[in-house]
Formats: sequence, structure tokens, C-alpha cells
Amino acid sequence: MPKKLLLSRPSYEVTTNYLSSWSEKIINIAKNKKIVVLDLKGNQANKKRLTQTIDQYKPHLVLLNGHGNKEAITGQNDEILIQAGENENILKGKIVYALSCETGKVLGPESIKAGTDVYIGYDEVFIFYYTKGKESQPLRDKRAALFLQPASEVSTSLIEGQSGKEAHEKSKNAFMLNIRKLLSSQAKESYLVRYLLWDMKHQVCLGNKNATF
Amino acid sequence: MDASFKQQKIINLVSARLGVLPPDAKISIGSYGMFTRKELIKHVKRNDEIGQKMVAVDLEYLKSLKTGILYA
Repeated sequence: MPKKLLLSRPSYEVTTNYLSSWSEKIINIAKNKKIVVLDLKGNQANKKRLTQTIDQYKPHLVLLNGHGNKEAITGQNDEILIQAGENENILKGKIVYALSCETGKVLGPESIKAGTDVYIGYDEVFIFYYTKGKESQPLRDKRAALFLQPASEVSTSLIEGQSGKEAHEKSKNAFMLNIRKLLSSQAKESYLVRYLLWDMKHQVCLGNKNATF
Repeated sequence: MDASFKQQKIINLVSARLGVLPPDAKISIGSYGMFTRKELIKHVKRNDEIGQKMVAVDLEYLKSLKTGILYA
């Protein structure tokens, strides 16, 4: 039976447009590996569709992009998809990566209590810089890539079959690599270091770190 | 040095550091939104939630310099 991954990628303003565009790279990698991709894009990134898709197809890997807070992650137009204490049990038995703010504080731990295998997310706001004028071409924005490439490393590593712990470490190493590049080259963009460091330090890996997709 | 004086010094420091950001750079801070350099500096000076977040980022960075993590 082919492996299945579910990807939620709302797209309604600059931040979600960037995350959605970067998800396309991940989708291509997954499709090349013959993985079935359940792509909840734009308006499809809503609670009803997410719940139905998980129930029907039972994907083992769930990649959630969007806005979030300590207790919830949202989809299109800020609709809450998963809320701690309400429906985190839909993530039971799954490997989850939430590229979103703060869910590593409460939603992540509550999901683990509800039986999620491993939950990778951020326990603080996820920050990235982008370039004015590049908003319509997120994948051509080198400044944003310094943040979103390391952040995407979690997804690509999990798709490649690496464990939660390995994916987490690979992503952190990718953040550190960009930090060192900026520091060593005396690049004009060295002001970005503090934000890359922030994202790197606040990425958390909870649950069974040895779980693989 | 009393706490409020110390806090003001930190706000001045963070504002000055934000002042060197290139004008074409914008920051996305999750659901707080997207901000230019000038908007960020305003938030820091107001010491509101967004400003405090920026201060936290800077302080964490400065602490990291002390631990040597960036040059290990």
C-alpha cells in the first residue's frame, strides 16, 4: 500500500502564500517517491475537509502550514483546524510537523497525550524575513529562503524516511549552516542571524522521536 | 540602575539595531502580521506585545553570543 501524507496549506495573505509556495517543493519530492499526497490547498484547508480526509485516507504523515497559537493551528482565513482539548485526537498515531507559531507549547504536548507518534513544531512565534516586491514570487525570494529552506528540511527528511529526531536535527543544522554563512561572509544580511537563531532554538520535537514515516 | 531605566536602555538598543535593517526587508511574525523596519521600531518604542517579542529575540541572540553557540 502506498504511503500517504496530508498537507494543509492555506493561502490568503503574504505569510501563508510563502508557506504554500514552499510546500510545492515538498509535494514534488513526495510524488517522486510515489507517496500519495492529500493536498488541502487554499479553501480546502478547512476543518471539515481535514477531518474527512484524515478519517477516509488515514495518512501517517501530516504536514500543517499556517497560523497558530499555543493551543490551535488554523487553515484558510484563520479557521481553526485543530484545537487542543477539542480535536487533537485526530492526530493519533501520526507523525506531525506544524510549520506555524507556538503550537509546540500546548497543542503539541496535548496531541502527544492523545496518541500522536511524534510532533515537531515551534514553541514560539515562527519568524521569517522576505523581500518587498517578491511577494508574488515567493520561491525566488532568497531572503525568505534562508528561513523556509531549513524549516522545510523537517518535511523532506521525514518523507525520506528519517526519524522525527533526525528530521528535527537536520533542520536545526540547516538553520545553523545559514547562520554561519551569514556570519562568515560578513554579508549585508547578517542582521538575519538573530531571527534564524530564534527559529532554530524554538523548534521542538515531542513524543516518540524514533518514529518514521 | 533601576528596572525602568534598564528597560529603556534595552528598548533604545533594540531600536537602534532594527534601524540598520534594509528598507526592502519585511518581517513576518506569524499571526501578528507583516512589518517594515519603521513599524517594528514603533512597536519596540511603544513596548507593546510585538515590541516585546522583538526585544526577546535580540536578548536571546545576545545571550547566545555569550555562550559561544554561534562560533562553536
